[in-house]
This record gives sequence, structure tokens and C-alpha cells, in this order.
Amino acid sequence: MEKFILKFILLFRGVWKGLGINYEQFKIILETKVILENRKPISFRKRSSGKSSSSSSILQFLLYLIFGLIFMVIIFSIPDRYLAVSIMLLSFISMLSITLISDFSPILLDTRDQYIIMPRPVNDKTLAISRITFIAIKLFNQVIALTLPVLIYVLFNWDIVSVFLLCLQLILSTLIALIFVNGFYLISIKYLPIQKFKDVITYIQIGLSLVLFLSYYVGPNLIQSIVESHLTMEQLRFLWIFPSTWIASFQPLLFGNHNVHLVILSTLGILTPFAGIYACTKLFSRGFNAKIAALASADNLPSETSQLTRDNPSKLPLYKRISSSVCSSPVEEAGFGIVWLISSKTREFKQQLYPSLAYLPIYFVFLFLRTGDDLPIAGKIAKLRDSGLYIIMFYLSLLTILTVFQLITQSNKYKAAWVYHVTPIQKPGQLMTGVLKACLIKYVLPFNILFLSICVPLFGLSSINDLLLSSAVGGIESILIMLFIVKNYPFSKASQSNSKAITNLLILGLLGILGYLHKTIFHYETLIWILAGLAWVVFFFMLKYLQREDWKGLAYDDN
Amino acid sequence: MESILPLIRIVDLKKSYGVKEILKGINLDIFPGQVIGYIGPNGAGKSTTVKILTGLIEDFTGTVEVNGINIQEDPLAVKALLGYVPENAELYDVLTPMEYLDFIGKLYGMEDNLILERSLKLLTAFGLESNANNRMDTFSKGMRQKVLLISGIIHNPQIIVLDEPLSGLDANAVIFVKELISLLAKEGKTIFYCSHMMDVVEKVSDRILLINQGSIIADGTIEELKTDPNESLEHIFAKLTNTGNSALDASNIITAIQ
Repeated sequence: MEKFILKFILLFRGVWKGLGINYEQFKIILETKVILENRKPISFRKRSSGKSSSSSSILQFLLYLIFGLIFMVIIFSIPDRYLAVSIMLLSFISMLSITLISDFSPILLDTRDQYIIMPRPVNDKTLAISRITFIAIKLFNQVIALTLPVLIYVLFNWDIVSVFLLCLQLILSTLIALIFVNGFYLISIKYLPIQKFKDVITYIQIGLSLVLFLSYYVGPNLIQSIVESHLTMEQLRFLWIFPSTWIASFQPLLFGNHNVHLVILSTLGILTPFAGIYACTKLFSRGFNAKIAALASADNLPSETSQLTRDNPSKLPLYKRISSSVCSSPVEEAGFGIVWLISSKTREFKQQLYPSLAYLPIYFVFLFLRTGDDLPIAGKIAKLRDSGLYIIMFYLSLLTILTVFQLITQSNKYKAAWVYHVTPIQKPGQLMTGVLKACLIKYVLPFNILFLSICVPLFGLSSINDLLLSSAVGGIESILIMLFIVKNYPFSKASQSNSKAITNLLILGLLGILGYLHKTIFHYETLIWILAGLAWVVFFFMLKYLQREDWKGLAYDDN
Repeated sequence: MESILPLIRIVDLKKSYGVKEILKGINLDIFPGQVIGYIGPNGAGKSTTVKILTGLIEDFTGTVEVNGINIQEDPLAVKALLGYVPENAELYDVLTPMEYLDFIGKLYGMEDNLILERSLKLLTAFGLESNANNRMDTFSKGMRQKVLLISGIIHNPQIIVLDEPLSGLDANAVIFVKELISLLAKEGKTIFYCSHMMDVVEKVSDRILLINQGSIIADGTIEELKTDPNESLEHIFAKLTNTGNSALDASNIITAIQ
């Protein structure tokens, strides 16, 4: 798709030359960027650096097309056109803004231009215009994918004036999204240091995947309830604060509804984009490009000395205090520390893990909402308690263990793992129990505490033994995963795409069966207590075994 | 040579990858306090020797003994005696130097307090004290190299294996490291120094080993290797390793771009 847009743009050779740029350079820069874009992994899917994709643009286009279909469903199922357009535009603007930030930040922050293109005889204008044009190509690609289904639908169902009006509204909405993103960058760059800024972008990407997930679950219900209760704009007054509603006001205006507040909103809808553009170009953008350039290169500058250096040496960091109380040897502490530190500091790690952790609370809320659809809250709680359905949640949370353990062996810096092989580690098992303890304490314990604090007030003290049993099962699961699946030192492998889908399914199935069995016997409190006790004994016994394991599998991969 | 027992003893060391023989029977005795300059062209088998010595490669034929311990029988005991600073220095750069050194120290089984004390002292000595708690991803190449050097000596090893330790260091730091090497040698440490920088090797080493195509083809002090007093190590290297057809001729490059 991008290739077509590029071909189209390149047709206007005269125009580009007229702008005073070197057309041949402009052409090759854009073509190269489109190729690069096409081969990069899709941002909110798992990054697989091992295998470069050659069709990620098409996949991404299809993905946006699916969202476009959802927008179409909004238009087609909500009877009040004003409300429908307003909700559709709101979704469109939010979707576009978030994807713009998450997908375009790497392009803006691309340092390679500085090293590869800047030293060559390419003039500034050519480079600047090719960058802007490339972003425009991406943007058009995205907008087309997101709006295509809606446009096709309205072309056949609406009168022609409304269709043109909708096109205008979509253009204005795109402008609003651009202004919003621009504002985000301007503010972030002004107030955040470079590392923080990149972290913020990571969190926005994580947020994006959560929004997608949530809209998948909640969206259809929401639309259904709007349709069923025949809601109109009048009843959803909170929507009035969104620019999307202002822009949407053109539609009823067209149909001859000239009441005062519609006129005011429409005026706002026309004025806001232009005022925004004016503000962005005239007031805020001074030095924006210079700052972006500085931002991109700032990564390689040695940071100025921080004052933190001598902060109270007697106060140990949290991870050290925990590790000294749960680990029995320096090697075990080393394993504990490395996992604890690197997992909190590596952006890629967080990017992959946090979404799967964040789904859990959402599942929990969802489970709660879905149980006994029409019951009042007290009834829902009673139903969850009596059926033992909440136990399924505990087992679902154990899946994170699998994700965590698969991720901790991978790193971009996997070559740094040579240290494990030149140091005299007597028992690699000890290092690995340190790793295990760090994972459990950092990623599993918090969930158990969360569950405990939710379940005890809701379902009573009898849920404690259930949680104890499921967490011991989780502990045993994690040791088994360590022994049979994780066969590498932490952060010692390049990220890989060949996920062990079958093993994962098996483990998922096994956990499902265990959860189901647990759910069927959960009324027998004493039995659960005994099983929980037994499981914990088995867990500690296995931990001892793991410590003594000499791990012949952890051989040095000579490359 | 010395009457004492060799610290490192390599007997008939061979290593092949498939049919390609990388090391073709290396024999070597290295004595305590020696600074060995280990040189050779790319692909001669230098890195393979180092990887075998540091325990990274375990399957080879022949005997490698360090301090009387056979590396194939007790690799861990040998690793405890060695400090290693690898080429293409890779480290977990999201950590701070203090955190990284803490991790390395613990892999050597050192206690918290000792690691903390030595890390601070060493970082200060290398001029990195103000960066001790900054993430290394903001460091220059030279700063990272210094952290790696520290991580190679923090456990006070008997033998220090340095693979291109000067890459990325500025001129002052190079002088500093050269001094450090001779001081370590005076302390009785044995240094195994691999490099392509002939002038440095010539200055710091008291014994030079030249490996080519899997065999050691020259072994001695710089004076012993010289056939004429004005000859530099660079010339000796070129003379011994540039065999016929593989010789590079820079003038071909000039012809190509004209």
C-alpha cells in the first residue's frame, strides 16, 4: 500500500524539483525507508528480531482495516446519525493519536539518518522534506485503512452531500489527531529527559495494546446497549467536551437542525483545527526540529554526572534487602539481582511482559461483570463464591509465570552472557533458583496479594486456602518450567520468534484441568488445606533439588 | 628459562570445527609474572586459544593445565584463577557499574562488603567514581571498556587474559592501562595479552607469541625475534605472516577507484 502511495507521490517530479530538492536523492531515500518499514516487526505484536518480515506493511494495513470495520459497525448500527458520527470520530481520533505516537516515535527518533544520510552530500531541504513526506505516506496509509470501510458503506447508503461532509469531517479529525500528537511531543520534549521520554512512549505502546484488548471486550457490549436503549446525543452530554462531537455537529446542521448549541459546537469544530495548527506552527514549534534532532542523538552522549552517586551508602536498595533475606549464597544473589534489575530497566522486556500482566485485572473485572448478567452486585458475588469460579482466575494468573520465564532468557544484549561461562559457578542451579525467586517475588507475589485483598473481603476467609493451593501449584509449575523449558541463563539468547506454541498449549491445558479439579473440590475446606500444605512441601523440596542441579544444558554457545 | 613450575601448560592443543583445523597442536609453558603478547593475523586461532583457556570452549584435544589443574577435569577451579576481558566487549548496559560489578563479584562468590569496597576503589582509580551509579547505556566506549577491565580484576585473579583491552580508550587511558599491566606483572600476576596493536604489544610484553594458521611460529622476547636491531614488531609480523598469494596490496585499491 505504501508503495502505491509512494509511486503516486513520485509522479509529481516537477513539483518536487520546483521545491528545490534533489529528486533522485529524494526518491531513493523514500524508497529505502519504505523497504525498511516493510521489514520491521509490527509494533504491538511480539518483536521477532530473529526473522525479518517482508510483508509487515500489508499485515498492519489489514489490522487497521479491521478497526475500520469496527468504525463501520458503529455508523451502521447506531440509529441516531449525530451520535453515531460523534462516537465514530471519537474512536477514530483516539485510535489515530495513539498509533501515531507509538508508530511514529521510532521514525522521529531514528538516529540512523544522522549517521547514514547526513554525512553524504544531501542538502537539508531534501532530507527534511523526505522525512516529512515519509511520515505523510505512513499517515495516509493508516487513515485510508481506518476509513475505507466507513466510506464504502456511506457511499452506498447516504446522500452524496453527507458523504462529502463526512470526508471533510474525517480530514478535520485527522488534523485534530495530528495537533494532539504534536502537542504531546512538544510538551514531552520540553519537560522530560530523553530516557524518560522513551519510557513514556513504551508505556503508551503498552496502553495501546490494552485499549485494543478492552475495546474488543467492551466495545460490542457498549454499542449494543446504546442501540437497545435508543440513546441520543441529548442523553450523553459528556460527549460534548470532545472535539469529535463538535466536528460531528455538522451532520445535524446539514439536516436543518439549527439550534443554538449545535451552531456553537460546529463553529468550535471548524475553528479548533485551525487554531491548533496556528498554535503548533507559530507558537510552540520554534526549534522543534532542532530538539528532535538533539533528542535522537542524545542517546549516545555520556550523561552528565548525577548527584545521586553518593546517596547514603548504608541504605541498601530494595532488591538487595530482599535477596539477602531469601537467598543463601552469593551466586544465588547474583541470579536474583540480575533478573530483578534488568527486568525493570529494559524497555523491550517491559514492552513484552506488561501487556500480558495488565490483562489479568481486566479479565478479573470482566469475569465479575459477566457472571450472572442480570443479578445485582451482591448476587454476583454470591454466585462467584458458590460456584468457585474465582478460582479459575488464580490459575489464569499462573500463565504469567510461563511468559516471564520465556522472556527472561532473551535479551538484545545476549552476547553479554559470556560472563556466566568464564566465572566459576559451582552450581548453576543456585543461580537459577535466584532467578526463580526474583521472578516469583516480583511478578507472582503481587498478584497473589492483590487477589487476597480482593477475595477475602468478597468471598470470605475460605478463599485463603484456595489461594495457597493455587500459588503452590504455581511454584511447582515454575520449577518444572525451569527444569524442562528454560534451558538458558537469564538474558543469554537473542529474542526469537519460534515460540513453543505446543508446549504453551499443553501447559495452558494442564493448568486448566488443575483449575477445574480444584473448582470441583473447593467446598471441602479441610481437603484443600491438606492439599495446599502438601503442595508447599513439594515446592520447597523441589527448590532444594533445583539448587543442586548442575545444568549440563547451559553450555556456551560459541558464536 | 625459569626453574619454577609453569603456571599455564599447554600440550599438543588441537581444535577443529568440522573439517577445518583451527589449532594444529600448540605447545606452551607460561610462567608466573610473565606478560605474554599473543599476536597473529585474523583467523589464526588467537580467539580460539583464549576461549579454551578461559573455559568457554570445552571440547578440544590435548592438555591445558593452569596451576597444575587440568581445565577439562576441573574447569571451575581454573576459572576462579582467571580474570578475562573479552574482545567486542559486551555487557548488560542497562545496569550501572556498581550493579554490574556486584553481579560479577557474586558470580565469583565474593561477599557484598568486599565487592562494594573494591568496586568503589577501582571505579575511583579508573576515574569513573562520578558515574558509578549511572546506567552504562549512556557511557562512551572507553568508559565501558574500563568497567570491563575492572570486572576482570575485581576478584584479584592470578592470571589476567586481556583480549584487545585498549579498544575505544583514549591516549591517556592507554598509557594508564599499559602502566597497570606492568604493575600487575610486578605483583606476580601473569598477563595473557592479545592484540593487533603491535606497538603496544612490543612495549608491554616480555615474551611474544606469534600464531599463524593454527601453529605458533615465533616465541621469544622482542629482542630475540629481531633479526636486525631497527626492525619493529610490525615488520616481523608482516614478514612472518604475509605468505605469498594472500598478501594484500594497497595499490590495487587505488587502481579500483581511479
